[in-house]
Amino acid sequence: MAAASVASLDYAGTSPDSTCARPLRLHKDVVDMRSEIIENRRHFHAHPELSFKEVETAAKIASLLRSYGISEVIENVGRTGVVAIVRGEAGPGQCILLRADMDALPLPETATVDYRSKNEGVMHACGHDGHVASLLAAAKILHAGKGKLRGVVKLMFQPAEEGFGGAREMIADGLLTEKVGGAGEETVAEAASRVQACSARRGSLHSRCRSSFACTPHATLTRAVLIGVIIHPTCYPLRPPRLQARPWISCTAFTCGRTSRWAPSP
Amino acid sequence: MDFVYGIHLWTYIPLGTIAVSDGPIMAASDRFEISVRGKGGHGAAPQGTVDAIVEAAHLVLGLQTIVSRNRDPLDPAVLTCGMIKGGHGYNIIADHVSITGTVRTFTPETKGLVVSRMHEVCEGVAKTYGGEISMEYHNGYPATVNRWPEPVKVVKRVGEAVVGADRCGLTCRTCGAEDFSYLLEAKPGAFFFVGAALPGELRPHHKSVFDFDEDALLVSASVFLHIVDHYLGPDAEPAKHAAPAAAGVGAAS
Repeated sequence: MAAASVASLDYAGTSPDSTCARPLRLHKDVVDMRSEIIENRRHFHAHPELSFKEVETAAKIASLLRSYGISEVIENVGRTGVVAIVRGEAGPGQCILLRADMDALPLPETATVDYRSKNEGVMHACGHDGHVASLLAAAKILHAGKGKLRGVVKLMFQPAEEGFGGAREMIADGLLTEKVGGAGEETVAEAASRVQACSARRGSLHSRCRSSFACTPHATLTRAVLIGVIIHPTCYPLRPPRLQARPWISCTAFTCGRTSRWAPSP
Repeated sequence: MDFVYGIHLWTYIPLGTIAVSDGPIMAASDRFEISVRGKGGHGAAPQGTVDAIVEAAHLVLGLQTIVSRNRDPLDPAVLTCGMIKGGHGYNIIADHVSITGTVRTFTPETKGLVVSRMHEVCEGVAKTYGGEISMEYHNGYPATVNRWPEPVKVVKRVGEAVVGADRCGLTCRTCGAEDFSYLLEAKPGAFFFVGAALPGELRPHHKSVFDFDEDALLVSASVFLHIVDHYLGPDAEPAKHAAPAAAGVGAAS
């Protein structure tokens, strides 16, 4: 099983009266980060912000992600959302999204813990502070181990889960596409569906480059995938084609670009 | 984007448990606003009036029968009239009452049934009492549905590695709602609950006393990492086939 490649550690917890009945087998790096994770959680707990007002929260998340060495941190996705991209260096592969929501509730905190809310009338009363702290820990560890990863991890820090549809706003801003986080994550299935849709509809394929900044080596790879898909469905071994059952693609004309790049989409 | 995963820390289950199951796990959350109109008058002279308070009282009771009498008991639903406002004074027959509430359902079939029955009950009560009732129904988050069997299996497998086989995979369903549902409508993936109860008294979500066992964060971070490792790690199998088929009703389109 794949999980065996992750170093695990038996962990009995620190609280003698924990509700946990037995030791946990936790990721070793996570256990090493315990105090940092809890410190982060308590910071966010003490500084809660309401839906779509997570300005300080988002800034803190972005700043921590950058301090881990993650260079691709995109802010203001779906208003106050943050997206970070960890690109594996062991080769191309799938794109996995992990999500934490980050808004708090309009509720006065009555607990007397020393990390209680400093923002009167606003409280992290649903655990989103913990979601953020967990995902930050995963981000830090994934970035440190990206040399072993094949593929892309997209880390989603979402605003406004508490009834205001922050996820929908992030999706509308392109969260699930290469518009957010650049290219290099389009799956062969997606490429194939575009090829198929285009050829069925118009008899031609336009590879879209949504912004000039997407013209990275990763974007080149994406287009290379498409070209490979068109020329021979089985000749692209790095992303095993999900196309083998669709051998009817025929390439009858091939035009590539006016300049060094493909034409951007309208 | 190939797979999407989301968690919720959950204080209703102990630390060291993970709840993940196929199918709907959190409800669709909708809101309704009903306006009940009657004909006001003197509290001592009901003749010729239509008492909006009596009308609204019967409406509330009528609406309660939708869940208890019309809905399939094996498909949960909640209909709550959370707020009712109306009237002017102790000796005045009210001409208007407003009722606001929420409907929670797990399947489009039951949601459709509840909404159409609500309209019928409103119409019937209005006719019975000679008033006018109108309803505005606002769709909120759709139900959060683990409609993709493969990603659920992945969570079960990696969760078992962290908390043990008998403590992972229990079913947890709640009539709360979650907008991760939009991601699961768009992409294969799974949403699951990570046990986070503190010892002693329950600390319910959305309460002023809420808190959780912070060691749960080590569980959720570990599970996140195991999920990534499953797909992108050195031992990960290359993807062999097209996106998995969705199970059950309401498959992603």
